[in-house]
Amino acid sequence: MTKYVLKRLLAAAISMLVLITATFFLMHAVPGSPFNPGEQRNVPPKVLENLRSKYGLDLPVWKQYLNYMNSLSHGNLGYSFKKLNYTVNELIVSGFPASAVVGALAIVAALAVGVPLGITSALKRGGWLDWLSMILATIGISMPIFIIAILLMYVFSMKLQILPIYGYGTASHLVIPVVCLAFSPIAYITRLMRSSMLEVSRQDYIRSARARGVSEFMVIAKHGVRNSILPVVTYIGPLIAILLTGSFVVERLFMIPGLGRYFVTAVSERDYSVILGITIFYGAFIMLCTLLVDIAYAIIDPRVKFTD
Amino acid sequence: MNKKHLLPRFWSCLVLSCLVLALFAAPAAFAADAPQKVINYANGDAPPVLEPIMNNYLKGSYLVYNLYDGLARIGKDSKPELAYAESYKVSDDGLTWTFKIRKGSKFSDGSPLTARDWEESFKHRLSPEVASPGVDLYLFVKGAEAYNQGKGKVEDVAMKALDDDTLEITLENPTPFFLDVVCYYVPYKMELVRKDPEWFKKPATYVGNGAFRVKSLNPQTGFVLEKNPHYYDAANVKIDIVNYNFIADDSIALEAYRKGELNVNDSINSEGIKTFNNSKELVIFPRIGTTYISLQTGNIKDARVRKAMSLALDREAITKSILGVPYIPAQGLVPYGIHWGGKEFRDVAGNLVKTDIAEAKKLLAEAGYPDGKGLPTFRIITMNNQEDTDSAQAWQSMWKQIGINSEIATYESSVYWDLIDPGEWEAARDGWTGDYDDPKTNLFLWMAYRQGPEKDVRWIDTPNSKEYDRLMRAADSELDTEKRMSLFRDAERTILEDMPIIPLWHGVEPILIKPEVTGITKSNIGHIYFQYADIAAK
Repeated sequence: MTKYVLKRLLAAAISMLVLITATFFLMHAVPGSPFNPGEQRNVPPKVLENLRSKYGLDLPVWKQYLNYMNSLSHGNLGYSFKKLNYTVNELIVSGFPASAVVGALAIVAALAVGVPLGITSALKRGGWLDWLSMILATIGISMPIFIIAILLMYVFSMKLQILPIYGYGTASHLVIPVVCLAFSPIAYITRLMRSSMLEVSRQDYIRSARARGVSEFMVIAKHGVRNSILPVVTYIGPLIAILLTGSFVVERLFMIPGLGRYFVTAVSERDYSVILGITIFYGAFIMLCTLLVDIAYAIIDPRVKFTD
Repeated sequence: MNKKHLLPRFWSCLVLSCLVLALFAAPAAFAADAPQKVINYANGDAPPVLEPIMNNYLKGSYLVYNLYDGLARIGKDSKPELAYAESYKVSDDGLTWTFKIRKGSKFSDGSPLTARDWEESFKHRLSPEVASPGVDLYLFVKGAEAYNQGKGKVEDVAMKALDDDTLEITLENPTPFFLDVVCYYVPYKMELVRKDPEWFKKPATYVGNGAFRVKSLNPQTGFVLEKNPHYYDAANVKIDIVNYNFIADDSIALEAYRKGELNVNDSINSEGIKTFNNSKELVIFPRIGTTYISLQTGNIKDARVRKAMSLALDREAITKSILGVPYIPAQGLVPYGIHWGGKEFRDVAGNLVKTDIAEAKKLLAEAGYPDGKGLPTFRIITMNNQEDTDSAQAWQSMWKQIGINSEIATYESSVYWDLIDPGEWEAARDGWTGDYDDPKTNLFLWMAYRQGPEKDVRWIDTPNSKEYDRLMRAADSELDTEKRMSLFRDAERTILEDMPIIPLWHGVEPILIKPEVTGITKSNIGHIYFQYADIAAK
């Protein structure tokens, strides 16, 4: 187990290095820069020069890369180029909580609705609930999140006027964003759960459990769900990473002070250090989540062993 | 438990818990009722910089000038009036301005604010190490430019506190509009700025001297400003709280305004303008800016072609029909809001920009390109927002009428401003909003010293550009207003005869204000002031 984890961590470190290097050079290869003379026309050239040298932008790109890696090895993601005097670490610390709250609620909602809905439609195959879940899933997978967001906003904020349009702080602010974020995961989880439950319910051990006189509840909960939830767990790993680190669209639309919003603005403003910092954070998070999922496999499914 | 009973029970539980949650959540939306007078304001996304010293953005200034006041301030009528200075004297040569600081002046934390604080803050901002981008208004002061560029000494910057109440400023040139400029000379509590480089991140150390002070702040969602009890004019400030919200999307801001979550909406798009077009809630302030097309004079060498391009544009159609924004079709480079004595400069100088297709065609033929034959396809570059692309498509089709073919390339703004300099284009969208009530604030852009290192990019070395520079320099040292203004008028004519740029429209600042909110003021450069506002009881 320990050996397995160590091996995975090593692989993660290598992927991380590739990720950082690729992002760094791609970002610098894209035209545009954080301080350009055209935009800041009333800034004397000398001042612009001072600004560029203050941020090390006057150095060749490979030198900037070495400087960056050096400060990164000290856990320092550098200063933002555009949010002056804010460090990237500070921005991540300030943005992550909001993203995480919205994301965590969306995951809970997705599981709370998706898993039971999947089980129900598998058990009542062809019933109205099965059809409903099919329709929901198709909508959830095919409809872009911003359409759902605008529809919900139109109905609940503008027509019925029971939910605020934007903002963050009270429970009512969270309802629409969480529903938006949970919508597509609900669809996926329902479909995954349904097909895997269908497969499991045909297995011999289910039949033998029933034959042994085990109650229907126990048959489903203990033998059915436990064996059919693996695909959902696989899906949940990256999903947690994606939702907790913030959704670009939803955060921008509802003015949620999270990481996703910083990232979108950083890209269009060429705020190099923020782009890199958030990418690194996001990459590390995904790697961690997939690792946890792999460990969770072994706990749920005794057939999985940490050997390779 | 039986399977049949299990599932319906689960679903009803889930639905019920959702309902309960919704019931708890809904009243929270209406809970923010307070007996105070509150402005709920939005103006687009967060300004890039929240620190006043490093701010160089219009949106950042909207915030800063509600938190800080200068020696003078923008009054209710959008004109400068004395603020922290109670009086001032100007020497006969127009160079030395002596300000008497109001006795008992205080920072927003209650500590005393003296002439020495003004001097110290001013010099801090100029310092080359600070590298503040917003120093252009500081360079009027003698010795300021040299010090800022690392060539001079701080002692030679001619701003001195003679005692606690007297501030003496000596200028480089006579500057009749200097009172406009000192509205933007604001003091910082240098003791805090020096001690804590993160002072502007915390309300306790974000100390200013304006009508409001910071109550709380979040760099992503917005600022909450509260009335500053130590403000010298606090008795006349009626508003208790200003919620300065950052809302990136204009349509969301519009809905929030319609719903009443905002009572002042400063990020209004053309949809909002169309919706509220006939309503009293849509208020339009002038802004001293002009949007224009820069022409690549290195690529379009013949002035007759450039003039034909200007004559082909129907500015009325572009602003009213295509953009649907109440911009004022341009009549020159100097916008409305700049004064010549008691009159608008624009009205005195007249309309220098016309639409005349026949004349345009004639000029093209004279230049040797009848119906555009022989001209290459021009490359138009613009930013990728809706207004700029719509506008560029309008030029394209209007130029097509006289036989000039063009193609449009759009870029996001950070790329766009990098592309302007290398100059691989024929026409580029550009614009400028000035800082003070004087034609120089717009016309200085084309003075020779400002033209780029790549000579073919900017307007340089033509007989007209030399004459322009001469007229502008003559205006700089002219003390007589009438003569000075005539020089600016001649300069404007000189540049438009050569047409290195094509004026499109003069700026306006549309804003939505609920009927119960009165006294919202905007200066002629667009800054909003809440200190004269009031809210009537409904």
